[in-house]
Amino acid sequence: MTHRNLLTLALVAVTTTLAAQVPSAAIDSIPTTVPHTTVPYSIDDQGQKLPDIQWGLDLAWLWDQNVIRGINHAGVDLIDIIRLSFQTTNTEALNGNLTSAQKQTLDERIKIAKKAPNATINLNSDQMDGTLEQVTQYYRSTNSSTQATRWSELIYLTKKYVENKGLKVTSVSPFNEPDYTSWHQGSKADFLAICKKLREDATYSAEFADVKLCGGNTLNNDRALEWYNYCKKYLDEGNTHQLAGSFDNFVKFYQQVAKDGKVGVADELHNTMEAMVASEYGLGKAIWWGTCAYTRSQFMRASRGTRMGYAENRSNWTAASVYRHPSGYVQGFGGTSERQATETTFRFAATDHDVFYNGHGPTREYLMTLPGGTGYQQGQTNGETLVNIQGGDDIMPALPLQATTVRIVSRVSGLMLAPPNNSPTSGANICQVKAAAGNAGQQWVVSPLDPRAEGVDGDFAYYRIANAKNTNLRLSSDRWSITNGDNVFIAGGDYAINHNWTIEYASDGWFYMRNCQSGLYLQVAPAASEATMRNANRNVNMGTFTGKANQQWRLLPPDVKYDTNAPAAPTTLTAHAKTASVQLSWQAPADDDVADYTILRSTDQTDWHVINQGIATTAYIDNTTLPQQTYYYRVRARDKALNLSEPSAAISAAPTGESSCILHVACDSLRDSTPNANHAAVAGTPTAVEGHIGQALKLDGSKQFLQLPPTVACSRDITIAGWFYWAGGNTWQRLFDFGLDTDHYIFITPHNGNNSRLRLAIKNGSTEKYIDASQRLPSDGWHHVAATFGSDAIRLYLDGQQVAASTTIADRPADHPYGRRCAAPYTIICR
Amino acid sequence: MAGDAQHLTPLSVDDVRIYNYALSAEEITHLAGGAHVGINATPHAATATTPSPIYNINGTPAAPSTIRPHQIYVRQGKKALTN
Repeated sequence: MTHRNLLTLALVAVTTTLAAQVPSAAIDSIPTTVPHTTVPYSIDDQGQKLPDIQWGLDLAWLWDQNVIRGINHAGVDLIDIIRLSFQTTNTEALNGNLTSAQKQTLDERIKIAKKAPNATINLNSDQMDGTLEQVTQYYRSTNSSTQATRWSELIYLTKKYVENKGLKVTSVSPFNEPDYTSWHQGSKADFLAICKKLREDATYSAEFADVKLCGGNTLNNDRALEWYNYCKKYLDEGNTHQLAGSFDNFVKFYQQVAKDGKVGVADELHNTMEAMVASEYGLGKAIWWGTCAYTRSQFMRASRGTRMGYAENRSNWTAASVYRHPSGYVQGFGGTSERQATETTFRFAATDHDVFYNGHGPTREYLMTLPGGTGYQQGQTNGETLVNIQGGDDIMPALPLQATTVRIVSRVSGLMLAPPNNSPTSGANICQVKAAAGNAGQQWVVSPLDPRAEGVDGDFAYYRIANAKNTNLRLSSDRWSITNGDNVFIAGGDYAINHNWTIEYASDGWFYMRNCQSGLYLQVAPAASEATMRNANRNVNMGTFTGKANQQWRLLPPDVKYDTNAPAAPTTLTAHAKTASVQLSWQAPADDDVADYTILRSTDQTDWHVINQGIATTAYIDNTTLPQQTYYYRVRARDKALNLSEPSAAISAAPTGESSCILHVACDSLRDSTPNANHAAVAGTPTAVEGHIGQALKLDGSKQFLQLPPTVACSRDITIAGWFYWAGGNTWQRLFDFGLDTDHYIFITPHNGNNSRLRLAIKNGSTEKYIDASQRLPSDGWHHVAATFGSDAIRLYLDGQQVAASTTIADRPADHPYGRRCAAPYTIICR
Repeated sequence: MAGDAQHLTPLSVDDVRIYNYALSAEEITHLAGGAHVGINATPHAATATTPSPIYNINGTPAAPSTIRPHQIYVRQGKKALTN
């Protein structure tokens, strides 16, 4: 049969075909593009409890907003430490007392530090802002002894002064970034001499007996061990910054500190990445440079829970992780080196079952792209972000992936967020108004942030919200306010962080929205009574978190009429068991505004999970099932205003598990012709060509592949088969590749790199096992290739003839640790 | 591993099938011969350029006159499935 292009089959047409079918989880499958790094995690596992980190904020950068914003974002209960500096910038001698200038600066810092009442103080050497000499001649080293005397006295007097003002000093870092020699702090010997004096000199030793000494505090993490090791006789804490150096040395530093039984410290975190990575290797204390906004503060909270997944890309200086908050909420985090990262894609992969990412799903995978640069401080954005991962019975409405026009409705009033009279003018305070159909003044264009957009400042887990009548005017904290109760207005001008808002899920379709600049929540101005808060034209401002209805908002399509009347529950739910799936159908309620349905499943009738939502038909195929497992189902109707009905009566069914073909994708379309709706999905846009039977898909070998649903490989015995017209090429190419990572996979390669033969390989975490044919796959036309995994043997077939077999290889797809829970961990890809 | 760029392959793919059991050598031979082994659905042959023979339970081709739209074939010893 000739192999030539017949036509290009637009995959839009394929999708249209699919849409006409009964939906299943597979219909939502969108293959992620090939990532740099995968972050596997199990949504059902408890995760690993890492040692708790003490978190802190910084006053070396003397700006009260850094601390106030940090507290607003993180919550004051998470602020354990304030880093506060002693000043070597004065030219006057001490003579037993701090100078008036030093006291004045300390007073300013102490006042700010007291905004975090639970925090203790870590002293460090002032970096100032470049307007003063970092270390004046008085404090510079003439010899180690003289310098140690002066620095020790300064640190001692600063400690006494701070503690006389009611704060408690718990740690001292004598030098800050001493490897940056332009600041003239001194040598390792000078550092050591100061530590020795604080620890052993009779004047200071009692005062510092319960104070930790911290070093080597280098800017370049490649230098950290050198300074730490030189001084560690006196050190309790090992500290480095990550503004230069290698990933390997960053890791080695924290490993060595932990090995020494000391506390790993990062007293100047510039990105969530540093916290994520250092947490894996011994971090015990972390202080943010600048402040902590959304992603950082969520990571702080999450770190008190458990870590469920982690991956690092050392060459790119990036990392990603999955954590479960103490509250049970799950988030994925991504971060980059402020000065050294290169762009990285991380694929978050749920190994046990489908989940929802920012409300999108059901799916296993989410691709997070982190921005980077091309060299040291060449184009990096200090990018960091997060994604919300859900798998329970209340899944958030999907957050916008591109600019989306909505109305924003208050939960307490049912009124619309808008400028007064729906008239957007620059500087107008925002209020709530009565619904006015079609009036763009009460509509908003919600756009996710591009990490490289103007005014992002690193954290791009935010949205911009522009008025639809004048999209130059954006929702903003009023004149950069960070004060509880201050107004929210609409403004144009340059993009900045006060135009950036979080959209955080509350429950039942409602969200909180928080300003990046202030860390405060959008709210209908509080009042003693809810009746007052329901008044039209009442002011909308920003407030500290209360969780009350006046801080909750729904994002609805602009043509939707808001009401609070939930539809009636669906009726007559039926469940029909198939070989490897369950088909559900139900009767719609009589309500005329039902938009779609939410499908819930349970194995015990107690713990219910949404397996899909937004289903527009009254039928659904659940193909994410185990054979012979009894499942219970309920269905809820959802109206256009996102009101959910009560669940329908429950019904149960168990897939039969009878021996059968459970997936058949003919490649004329991506539709599975078995009853299990295990439809395929494609990455890229392959060309439709004449196939062995009807049409086939031609893959380009660079970006295109065909992805199958992960649950098709959860049986112990399995057959994988297909027709292939291989164009020839490099060794280790693939016909099938069922794999999570480089330790868990099954693949067939047309010719392997060892002996150039057709090979079936399997690896389940131990040594790879394989069987080879006596030849490579011919590249002269269509050939049928099949692999079987049976109770007695694994076998490889070419054109209907067995070409290799083994009765000793015992590994099976279902033997994988996750597979035993039928959650085949495989991203199943046929290419 | 799956999704690894270096292993993406230039090829054409057709008629992909996954079974929840290990097909016998005979069934594989039939499959490679174009049979619809174990498919519990409308036969794919409706769009095929070459009609695929349907096999009876013993693996021999069924006479065309006996083929009904929803006839199912299963491997020997397995329960027949019907729509």
